[in-house]
Amino acid sequence: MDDIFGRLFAIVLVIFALFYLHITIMAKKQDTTAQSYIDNAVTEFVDNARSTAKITGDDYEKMATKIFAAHAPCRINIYHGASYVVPDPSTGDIKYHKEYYSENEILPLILDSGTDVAYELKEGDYLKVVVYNTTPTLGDRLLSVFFMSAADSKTLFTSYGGYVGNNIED
Amino acid sequence: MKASDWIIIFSIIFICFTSIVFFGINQDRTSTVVNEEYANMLTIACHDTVKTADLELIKTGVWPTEESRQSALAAFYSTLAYCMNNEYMEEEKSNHLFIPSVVLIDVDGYYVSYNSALDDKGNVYIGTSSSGNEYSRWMSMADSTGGDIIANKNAYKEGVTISPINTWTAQYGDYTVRFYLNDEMSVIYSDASGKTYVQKGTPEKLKKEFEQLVKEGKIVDSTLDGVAPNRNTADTRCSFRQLLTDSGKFDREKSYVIVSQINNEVEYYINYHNAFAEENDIPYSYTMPDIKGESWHRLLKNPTAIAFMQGRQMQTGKQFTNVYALSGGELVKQHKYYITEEGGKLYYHNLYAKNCPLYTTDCVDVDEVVNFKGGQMGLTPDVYETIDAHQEWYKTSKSTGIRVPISDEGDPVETLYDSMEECARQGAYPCECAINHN
Repeated sequence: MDDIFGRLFAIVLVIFALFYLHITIMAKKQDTTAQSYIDNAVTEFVDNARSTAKITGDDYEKMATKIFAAHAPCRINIYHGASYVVPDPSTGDIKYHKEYYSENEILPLILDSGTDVAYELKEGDYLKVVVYNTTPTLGDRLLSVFFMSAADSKTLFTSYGGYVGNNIED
Repeated sequence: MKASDWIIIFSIIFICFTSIVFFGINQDRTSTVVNEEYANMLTIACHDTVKTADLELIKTGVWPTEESRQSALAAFYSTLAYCMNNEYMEEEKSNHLFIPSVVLIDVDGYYVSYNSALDDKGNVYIGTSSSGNEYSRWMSMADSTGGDIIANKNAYKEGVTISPINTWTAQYGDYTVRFYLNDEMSVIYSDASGKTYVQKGTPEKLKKEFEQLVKEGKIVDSTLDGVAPNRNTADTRCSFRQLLTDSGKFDREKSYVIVSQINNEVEYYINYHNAFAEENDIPYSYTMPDIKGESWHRLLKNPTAIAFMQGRQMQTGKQFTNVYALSGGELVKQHKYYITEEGGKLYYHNLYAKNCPLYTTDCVDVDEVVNFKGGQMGLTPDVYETIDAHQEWYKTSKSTGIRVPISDEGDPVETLYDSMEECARQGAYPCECAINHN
């Protein structure tokens, strides 16, 4: 009798493991691939913007298309740190500051204008893009059932940025 | 069997299946990360290369001499070694072997730096004998794949050659056209008497000149319809007349000629690099990465440097993964600033700003400045001279629609600053238009 139950248990366990665990782990690995894909898209976008000192609607749409192809509900944050210089009367020297702009200011200019308008950056500005998923991936959902816990929604996370500019043109 | 036996059997099967897949994914991920690292290093090296350009010569060619081009190349390899963290180390000597070519794209043509250190048998010149004998020493690449590739640090300097200028030229019937990165082109043609002429200018200017030549009977009108050979589709087919009359066609044709010729040249040197590898049974193949149209278009607006690099191949199971990067460094537009006084406080403004909150009323459109030059505002002769001094600047501004600041007295702002630092040192604070240029 014990042997029958043991065998039954083992079969159920094997079926569960073969299908469920395997799919779960494959889904998690797919997340790794998606993460890599998103990393590429973000890196390309930021490097392009840094070297050309502008963000165009086409560039943004291209990045967004790639990200949403990897995992549809993702949040894309863009931070533009516009540098400026002010005199420092106390020391007689100058001080550097940054004023920050987000995608709320940037995207309306490049997407809603209906024309090929670019958002201009200047040398010394800082550009950063942060992407994360707003809903759990398939791997997270399956894993959350296994661990009987709530799925973590921020498993795909990319953050990449850098300073703008390399040289000047008259 | 007991449950534990089933579990053991399952575990073995499961591990066998999944480990192969996991390994593949991890390798793919690693190669992607390495690719990004290579691309970043190349981009930085290309940027430093472009920084050697002489910006005073932006209209004629920013790398006019052999010395300036060598300097650009030295900057490239020096920065690359710094990025790869092998500066002043033995590995630095082998950096150039992973770079089949570096292309310096100038306004009037391009220069290709390629690896000429290798002879046709794949050997590397490593200098003269240390014993003082006057014979050259060569080292086989095939014998050294596991260790140092070049034993002489100066070998790469001796072995990297920069080609003479390559021009972007195409033949349209009887007319040979040379393109430039800017909007000009040169045309070489012969008149009815067989005498050869060269004319250079924008398509609009050349159109008028050729219309005049047709009227004078020096050239036959039908010859203007000559098309470039080997263009089989309607998109790529272009006649000389279309170059002169259709600005869109001119832009497309210019891009096509420039891109295709650079592409062919880079592919040639990549294949040249492959040749010695094949002859020496090195299982390593360089391949030209696909460059998308918009990337080329972005690269070809200003003088730039393009480099192609392929690192050591990564083994993924039985396969090799190519690690390569292609990058370009470009010139970024420099912003000019000017200072105004508002309520006893100095503010600096961006000259390119379309909407300046503090100084809008004192800005006029460029067309109005042209009117000023025509004397419609009754300006004095000395102001005319000031405007003449800025004439080139105004022309540039006119093409881009940028406004030119005019002071309360109607004079153009005479002092322009190259950076915000200069303005701040004058005691000026930034206007909103100087912080964000949008």
